[in-house]
Amino acid sequence: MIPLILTIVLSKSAVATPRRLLVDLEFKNTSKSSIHLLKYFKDETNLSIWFQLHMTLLDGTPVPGIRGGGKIGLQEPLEYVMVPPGKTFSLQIDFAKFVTDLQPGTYEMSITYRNQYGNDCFKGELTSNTVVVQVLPNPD
Amino acid sequence: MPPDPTPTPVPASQAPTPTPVPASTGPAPTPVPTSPGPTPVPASPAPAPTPVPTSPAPAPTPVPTSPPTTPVPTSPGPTPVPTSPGPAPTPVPTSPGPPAPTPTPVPASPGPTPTPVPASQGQLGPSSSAADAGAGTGNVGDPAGSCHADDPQAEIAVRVKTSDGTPVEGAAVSVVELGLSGTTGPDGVHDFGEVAPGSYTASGQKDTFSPSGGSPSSPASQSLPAPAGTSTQFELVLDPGARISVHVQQTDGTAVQGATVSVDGKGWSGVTDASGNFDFGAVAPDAYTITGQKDCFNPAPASQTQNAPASASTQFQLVLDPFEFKIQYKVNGVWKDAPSPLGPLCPGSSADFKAVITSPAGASWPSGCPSWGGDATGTGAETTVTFSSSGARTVFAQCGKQQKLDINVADPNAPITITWDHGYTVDNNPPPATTKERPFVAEYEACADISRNEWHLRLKTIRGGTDMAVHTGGFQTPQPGVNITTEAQGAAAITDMLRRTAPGGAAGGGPGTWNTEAATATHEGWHRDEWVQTSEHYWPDTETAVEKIKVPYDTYENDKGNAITAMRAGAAGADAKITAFKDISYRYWFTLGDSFGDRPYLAGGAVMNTHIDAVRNFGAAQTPPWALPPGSNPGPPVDHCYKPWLPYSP
Repeated sequence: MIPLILTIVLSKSAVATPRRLLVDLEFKNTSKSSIHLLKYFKDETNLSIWFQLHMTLLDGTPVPGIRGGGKIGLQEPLEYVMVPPGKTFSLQIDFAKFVTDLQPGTYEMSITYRNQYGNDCFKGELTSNTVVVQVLPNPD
Repeated sequence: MPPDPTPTPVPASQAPTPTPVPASTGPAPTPVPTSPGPTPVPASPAPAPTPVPTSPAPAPTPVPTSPPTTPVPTSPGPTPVPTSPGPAPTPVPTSPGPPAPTPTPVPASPGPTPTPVPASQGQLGPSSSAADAGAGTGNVGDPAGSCHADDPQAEIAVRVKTSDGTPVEGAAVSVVELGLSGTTGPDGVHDFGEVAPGSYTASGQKDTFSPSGGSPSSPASQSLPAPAGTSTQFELVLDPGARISVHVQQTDGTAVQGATVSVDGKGWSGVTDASGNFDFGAVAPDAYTITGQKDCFNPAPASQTQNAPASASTQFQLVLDPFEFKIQYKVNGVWKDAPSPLGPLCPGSSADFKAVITSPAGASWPSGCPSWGGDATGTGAETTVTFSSSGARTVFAQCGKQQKLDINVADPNAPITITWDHGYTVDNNPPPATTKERPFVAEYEACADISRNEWHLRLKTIRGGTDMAVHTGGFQTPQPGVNITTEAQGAAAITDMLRRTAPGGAAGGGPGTWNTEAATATHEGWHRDEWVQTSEHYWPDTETAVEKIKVPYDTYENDKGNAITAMRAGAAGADAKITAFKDISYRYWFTLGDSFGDRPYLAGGAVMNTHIDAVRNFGAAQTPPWALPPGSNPGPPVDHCYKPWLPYSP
């Protein structure tokens, strides 16, 4: 039983475009114990190590060229964020940076979070719900 | 005396097929030479160009010389008969071309009766030599060159005139058996002089003249005995004729070679040469209709009627145009116009082709037409081709004109391997170092199996890679004697380098001062190798799955681009399979440990040990030797092989 649920919601603060795809992520602790998460979410250059973006057209054709995955040589001491039981930890990520040459259109989107580093923290993978996103052309 | 056997003209009576003398070049004979030169006498071994005999010319009655004992006078000097091997008559070159057309010989009208001229009428003059005077048998020469004084001779001459008796000057005349030739003078006569007694055939012809009612280009001829001691004059009738020829071409002016042309009602026919021409030669002035036809040409036949006046050349013009047709191919049971270029087709696949006449309407292929070429073989309207060779191929059908398809046949499919491209950057920014995989990029190709109505997806290339980033900010590489000059520096460097790859608290002390780029790069390089080995493990099944993808050919007829797009699309398409391939590779990679004691750290530690040893060696050489921390990093790892275990069914 995975003690965490990852939920994503399209940010209501901005429309989705090829240059901006803001997604609100929420980790909810469904266990009765506190859970630590590695706290390396501000280093945008390495976010793709923790989060993998899945985008497909409605017919199931995946968007090509999505970056994600990798290994990282973290330096100790490691930093963590604690999520109490029943509580959530939220963050917002612009996933447009994960995609090369995203075209306007309607897509299904989900996120997978993966971690294999740290001590006494969540290790494994979580896959979010799927949302439909309409990517509009970039504004002139 | 027998006549000179060389050349050996074919006796008129033995000639099975009276035929115009073949022209020297070209497939069609030129029946009548246009030059006024000597009459061409067939030269052996010419294939029986034979003068048309006049028949049945009544045999003249030679008038014997009288009295028999009277020597035959030779004055005023007969033309000596050349002796073998004397100068040969002008031979007509034989043609290497196809057999001459066969204008049906039309027997010459009986014509005037040749009039043997009695010796007493002065054809043979009095002897002018003592030897001749005593011969008694008319010794007038020996064409064989073996003269015997006792052999009586005969004299022959040929006179050519028109039906109304007008002498024909400049006619080429010949004595067939003797190979003698000459040209008539203003009186229409050529005197061959003395010859051995015998039966001879004289022939004569002149450009645009023809025997009365005769076949085109045929010479007039007459066979007569020439007894010893007589003077025989052959009488030939040639009337001014018309020369007719025909030129066959397409509407655009292209000459039509090989068309069969004939003169209606005459039975004269021939085949046009490379220039589209055929010359019937000289015929009687009249109105003629010439028709021409050729397989796969329209109309069938073409014809033209013209009046051919005397002493003129009349060329008939016929227009024959080849059938218009197209090539179709069978797609999912339906014949469709075949595009060109077509393909690429899968090697070993087959396709059915059909040649369809589009003009003239209602036309059908002659038997054995069209003929197929290129990768196709056989004849007839339809053919099936199996494309066993790769590259640029052709299929064409030909009859009258040619229709060709350019066809590209793909190379045989072969497994492809991942082409790797790894990036590496190093800078002074603070750690951590990272190794990130690149998305896989596939290039696709497709080939068509038309007989199965399928496009098959093929992978052309698959490219993958990693980007390694090493950041050296916050540490420095120990360089004994440069930045390691004291015992304290050496001890600190070794301590830092040991704790970087050691498990537990030793590594938890935060970024140290001493580290090396080489060790970090080795650590990250191990991750790179993990990714390569993992991906290569899962790749063959992925490739197999991708190349099983097909779409109907008739949905994307000769449209490879959209066929590929269709095969890439969808949840079961190629792009989804490539994405799934990356996901499974990453999921396994994610299971590989990346903590102290795991193989990437062991690999980096082994490199670090070389730097530790360098510091120790430097310290040992000092006076007194430095007291440095003991120990070394564990490693190197011995197992550099990964065997992914996550199940995968692309």
